[in-house]
Amino acid sequence: MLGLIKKDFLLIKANLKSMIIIFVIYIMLAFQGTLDVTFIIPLIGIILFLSTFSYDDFNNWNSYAVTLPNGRKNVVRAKYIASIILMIILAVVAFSIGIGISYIKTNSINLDEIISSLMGTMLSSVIIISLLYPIVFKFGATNGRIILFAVVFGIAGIGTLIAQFIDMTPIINIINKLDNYLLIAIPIIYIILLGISYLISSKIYQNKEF
Amino acid sequence: MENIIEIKNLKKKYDDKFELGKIDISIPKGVIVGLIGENGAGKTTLIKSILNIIKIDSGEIKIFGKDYKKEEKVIKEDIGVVLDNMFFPELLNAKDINNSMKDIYKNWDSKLYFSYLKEFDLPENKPLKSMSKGMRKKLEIVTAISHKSKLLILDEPTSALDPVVRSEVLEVLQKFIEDEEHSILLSTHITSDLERIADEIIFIDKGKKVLQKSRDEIIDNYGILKCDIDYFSNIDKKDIIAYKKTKYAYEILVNDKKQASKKYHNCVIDKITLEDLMVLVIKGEKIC
Repeated sequence: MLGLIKKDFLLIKANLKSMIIIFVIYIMLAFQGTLDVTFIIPLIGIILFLSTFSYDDFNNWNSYAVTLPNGRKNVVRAKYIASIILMIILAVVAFSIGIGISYIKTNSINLDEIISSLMGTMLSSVIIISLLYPIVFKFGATNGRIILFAVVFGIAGIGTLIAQFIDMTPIINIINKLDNYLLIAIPIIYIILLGISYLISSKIYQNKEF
Repeated sequence: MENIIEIKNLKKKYDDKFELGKIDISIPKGVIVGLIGENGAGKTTLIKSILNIIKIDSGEIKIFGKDYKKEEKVIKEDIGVVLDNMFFPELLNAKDINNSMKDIYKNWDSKLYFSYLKEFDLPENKPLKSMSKGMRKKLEIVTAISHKSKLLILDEPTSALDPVVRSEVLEVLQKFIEDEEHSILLSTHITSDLERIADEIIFIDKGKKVLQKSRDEIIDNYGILKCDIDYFSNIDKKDIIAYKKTKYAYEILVNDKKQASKKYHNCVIDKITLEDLMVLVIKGEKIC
């Protein structure tokens, strides 16, 4: 499995060169204040990682990967673990740059704001990964992204509809109460979401034909 | 002799168009087995079934005497694979592939890999997308033989290669089975390659196994009987496997050319090539 994780990082490394200009622009925008660095860097991670799925599809990698020892299990595992490693690396990078920007601009460090903004972005990254990977494993990278948009808009639409007819105050109250425990609650939510997503992806990949 | 691959009653159906039906194959240790058949005959489907890339509908597959699904992990440590399509991510280079593979296969041999790269003139740092098709195929073959595999399963490995490189690759494959422990199953259109290196031939047509025989048996015993149109009716129907009518003569596929030459003095018997055999069986007419 380590080999497959390496392969994804080598792909990202090779791909990074062609995307470096975009990232420099993003980071400059962040310095200027148009974009929040704690938001943009984890997002870049997802874009980069999604490109590995696209290359896998484009180069028929999966039909070969399943012929490797324990291939069907390891491919899925490696994708999740590599994404988590990448997210952690990027969170650290975003955190450091965030501190830097905050210090340069205000001569002080607003740690609370950086951490809470980073937590929020990471949560959305985890949600995107958890939703997207099973879909991509099922339908491929290109179709998967389109389906993701449909799913996200669908959920948002249904959510809004429900919110109009049902009183949401009890749920909001629960979330508000959780606020005090957020630092513990959020990592647990990450693990649960990723765990469920991983199990679904494994099941899909186990029976897939290439 | 011990069998390295054993397939019993394999069935795989793709919608209504194609079906691999009731295939029984056994491949002994220490041989090169050539899989021939026209496009769409089922060669790739058979190979993908053996490798569990696609799911079979029914049947039993054993590799190294083990169930191909239950003991998949152990089995695949010992198989080297080349598929019909290119499959390495094109942004990577040969060094990257070594870096990943050494953590994928227990027995990966980096030293051997790099020595093959040199032998085949393959660049270490050039991304695959700027390599030619032939070079990429060579790299895939090199990867398949660099982890001390006992069995190679190769789908059309030589079709993108020029004659010089093809002959290099064939030599490497022949060296691979020299110790009698290794085996190779390879499918190809280039039947002349098989005449050079294959010990056994499996011929598939329309999803069915038509023939499995040793190469020598085919080359020594099969033949093409050529007779003129008037004489055709004198030929015993039992001797005709398939025939083709040309402008002035009949070409008849026979499976015992010595006997046929004694029996039919008026006819000429030509040596057979695998290509002739394929064309006559697929396109020729059959009596029974």
